[in-house]
Amino acid sequence: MAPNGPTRQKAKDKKKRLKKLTEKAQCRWCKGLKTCEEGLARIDWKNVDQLQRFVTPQGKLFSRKRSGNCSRSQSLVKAAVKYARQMSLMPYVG
Amino acid sequence: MNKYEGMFLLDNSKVKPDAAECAAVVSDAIKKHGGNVVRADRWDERKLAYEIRKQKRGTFVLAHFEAESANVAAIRDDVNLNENFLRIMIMRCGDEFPTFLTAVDYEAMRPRREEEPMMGDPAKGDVLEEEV
Repeated sequence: MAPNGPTRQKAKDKKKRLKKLTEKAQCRWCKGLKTCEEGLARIDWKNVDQLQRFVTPQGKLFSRKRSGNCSRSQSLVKAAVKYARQMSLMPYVG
Repeated sequence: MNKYEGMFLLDNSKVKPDAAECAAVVSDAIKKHGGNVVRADRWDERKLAYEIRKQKRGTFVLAHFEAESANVAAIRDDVNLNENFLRIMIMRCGDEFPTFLTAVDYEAMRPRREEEPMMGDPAKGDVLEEEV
């Protein structure tokens, strides 16, 4: 016997919920893009406001776990922060 | 000839933080070593994150230019000896120059929260929603 309407809907909802829970979070740069390159091209060492989101108020770089960056974007953000520090756009120590 | 993007930090006590003069100083430094300046413009005049040579403020100039790779080292050496400059950063671009964005453009790109209407305080007798 085939399951009736409401039961089938419930099963669907449960599946959806589980998918959401088990889904791996995507990096904010690569999210929703076909290739990561498009997103990674947006990382710019001159855009200080953008980089401020990845450092503590003291000026220390956030970990990947905290920032949610993927390996490649974390590497690029790290380099960008270091260039900005060198040009005195961002502080070495807060 | 390769394409380069250079950011130059100028000393405000030596060079006036005037757009035309700043761009001229940077263009001269590049042209001196055979570089071809595509665009040089004042990026911003702002407070520095830390003092450099006892200067608390500086003028940033962004330049897009073409030069031979050997000449870039010469430009860097020359600028490091020049007292008008506090810092320099030259980066190689790919096949095309990136979009020329100044600090004002970056400021405009910053996402802002939409201003929400001020909520009244019901304790003071303010009416939050008009009753129909």
